[in-house]
Amino acid sequence: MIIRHIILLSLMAFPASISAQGVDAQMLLHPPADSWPTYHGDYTGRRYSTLDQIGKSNVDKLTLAWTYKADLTVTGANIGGEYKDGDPIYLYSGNATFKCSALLVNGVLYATMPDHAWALDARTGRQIWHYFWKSEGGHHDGERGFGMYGNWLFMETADNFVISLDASTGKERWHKQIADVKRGYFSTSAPLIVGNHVIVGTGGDNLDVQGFLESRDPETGELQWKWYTTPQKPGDAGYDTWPDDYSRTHGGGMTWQPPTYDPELNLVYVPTGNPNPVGAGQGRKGDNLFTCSVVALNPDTGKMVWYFQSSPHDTHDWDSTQVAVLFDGTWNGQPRKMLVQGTRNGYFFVLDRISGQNLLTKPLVDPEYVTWSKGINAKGQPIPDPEKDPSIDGVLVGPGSATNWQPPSYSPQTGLFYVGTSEALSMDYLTDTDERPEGYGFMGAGGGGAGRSGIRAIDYKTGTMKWFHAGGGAQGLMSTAGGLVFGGDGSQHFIAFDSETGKPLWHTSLLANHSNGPQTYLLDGKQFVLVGAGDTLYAFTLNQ
Amino acid sequence: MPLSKYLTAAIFLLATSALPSFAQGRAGRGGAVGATSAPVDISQSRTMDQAAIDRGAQLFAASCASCHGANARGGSKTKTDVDLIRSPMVLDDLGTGGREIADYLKYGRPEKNMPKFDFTDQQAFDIALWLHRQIAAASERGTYQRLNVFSGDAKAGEAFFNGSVGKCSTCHSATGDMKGLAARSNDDASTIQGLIVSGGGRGGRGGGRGAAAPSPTAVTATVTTKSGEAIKGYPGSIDDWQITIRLPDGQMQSFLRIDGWPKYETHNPLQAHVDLQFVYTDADIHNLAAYLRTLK
Repeated sequence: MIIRHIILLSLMAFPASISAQGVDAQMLLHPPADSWPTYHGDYTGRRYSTLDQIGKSNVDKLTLAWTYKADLTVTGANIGGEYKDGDPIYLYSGNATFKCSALLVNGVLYATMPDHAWALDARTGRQIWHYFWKSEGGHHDGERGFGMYGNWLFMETADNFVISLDASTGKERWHKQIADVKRGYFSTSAPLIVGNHVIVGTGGDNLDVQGFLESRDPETGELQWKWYTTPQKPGDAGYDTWPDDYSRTHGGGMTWQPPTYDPELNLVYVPTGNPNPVGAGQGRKGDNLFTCSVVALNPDTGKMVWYFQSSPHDTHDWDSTQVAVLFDGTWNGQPRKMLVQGTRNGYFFVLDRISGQNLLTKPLVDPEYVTWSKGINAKGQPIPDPEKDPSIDGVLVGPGSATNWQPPSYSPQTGLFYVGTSEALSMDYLTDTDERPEGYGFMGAGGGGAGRSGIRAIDYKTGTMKWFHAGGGAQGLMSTAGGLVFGGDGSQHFIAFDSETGKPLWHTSLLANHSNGPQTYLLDGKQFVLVGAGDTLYAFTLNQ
Repeated sequence: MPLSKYLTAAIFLLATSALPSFAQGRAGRGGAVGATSAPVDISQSRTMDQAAIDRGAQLFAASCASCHGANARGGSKTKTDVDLIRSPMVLDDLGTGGREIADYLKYGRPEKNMPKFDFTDQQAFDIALWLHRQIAAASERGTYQRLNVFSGDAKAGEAFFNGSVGKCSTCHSATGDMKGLAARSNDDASTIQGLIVSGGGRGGRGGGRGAAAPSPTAVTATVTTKSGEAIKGYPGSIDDWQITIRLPDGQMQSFLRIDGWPKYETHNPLQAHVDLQFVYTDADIHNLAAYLRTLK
């Protein structure tokens, strides 16, 4: 009863006047086949599509429908920002790369790069409008894409503004600053829309800032709530996992990955990044909650309900912001609501997403590369080995970056979790020995031979690998009811794999390695597959 | 909120929109910030005036360090424990040409026992620049230096070198190929340890692509066709549908892969180094480095 009540409240938060057009609560709860209304396509982060028009038997007929090369010409774009004519601006074009997932609503795709956004005709790839944000700076690392509420779009910028655009015109409605670029913050995440909340996070780890997630009003952009990653006052959970306020308020735990959401439980699942200073932990002794964790928050209040920390007292930049993937299945024969996460520290976790209880922890990559940990504790957490902390004389440690932000996929059809991985050992050196280290505080140096790099298909019930396909390392993936997994191999191929065996059934060559999570949707009865590679979007459909 | 003209070295005027950008804010990630004709940004360490930094260092040491610490980070041994590297006031000075800090120093903050100082504008600027240099030193990870510490025991390293676990002496000799290693490595611990771990060649799978002269320790590749012909070279690229190798004369040759043919094998002369990384301890690596350092 309580759960239903919450859903009803969330639905009511959408004004009736906007439900007739654009994205409404129903669309986000049950995305139609001809839409992709939120970063992952739906709230779960599974990146699994029920579409099966393209399947194992006909995927070999998949062919190019159109391409779109990012238009970075500022002339003619809608210009946003607070600047006067003649002011200097950043121009993002050097390494223009689609890392976003494009939203699809009413036959229009909405795609982003740092400082840029475009509306495209989903049938032809033709540009409808272009928006350009005059940036103050910040690390122009990537842009995960839009959130959409009604006919309003929301994106974040490298210099930490949230911008709202009118989807019809690409004209700016408002912009609000959420963090200061001079403090070292930069933002890359895609806003998550839940009810009437625009939930945004941020990044930055070179000047020891404090991580947070906040909610903005879609109408006005005003702040609704703000949750800090590190505990704020005595008595708060996790307060004693930091030595002092100085370390807490500079402790990082950035929120640069779009969260996932369970509408029945009304919980948002936020994966948090590494603590700061990154590699020099001597000024922040303790577990450093709630960095490197999955945190379940109430989206109406920003209050934490539970947490699970995958890397206590991280000193290796494990940065556990990998997607918290939600799915329902069976555990020991009983139906269970679960959350699965493959993390950069080289572990694979299954949690009960009602309580946060750990159900399974297994190595994500070949275990001989996971040397930073001494084993698993009773709560299912890896136990960091202090002997493998970066030291002034160097330690050989792994697994390196086992995976990263690129979205993995879970298929209920196969019960397999698909994730791009790599593994290597390298020497880590502590470079800052001060009692108050600052910034990264460490650096890596040459390692030996790396291990395997490629896609792993993992049985969630046991953590065992069912298949492996070499190449590509961390990469965006998507599974479909057609029995397919779409991904790449690091050799610029875009590939459809048999989701049960990993056998490539179709491939094509792109002009770059695919750089975002593949997507799929139905238009006029035809299934399309969309992927970004470098500065170009490619749409594929069956040649019939 | 006006846009500062000094925010970054990666600023281009709108009129020069055809130029590539090296967009990067306060340089953090060690990525290259391109040299440009853009306005000077005092937050970018590589564009800072070193003479001014040096003057600022002297002024800071004489007037500020007793309260804020020699490195401006405060800490338990200082009088105030106020960290200037993370001070919002100092960070906000970014892009103002030191004006924010200069104004602050003129008045101080008497209620918090921060006295005022009668610095000239130039002196205040020099101090500000030195502070921004310290911030850049913390935030620009691409400019970090390893500390070059040899912590190991040379005798234990020698035993490992000749022993049955390391078996280094199977391939190497202290008076042969290892002679003069210390000088070749600039007597640098991380360089020597990097050689121990990697073997100094292109280890592992794939190897390198391109025209570098093959060394005796380079990974080699052999492609065997269905008819039994074996073609030897160096790894180029491999995926499910093609193999490319570099032939000894530098030419690239590619093969389509169909039904598992042709076969592909690599040989890594440095495989022993790859295998050892799962065998030796960090102490073994440190001891070996201490020993190899003695090989003049």
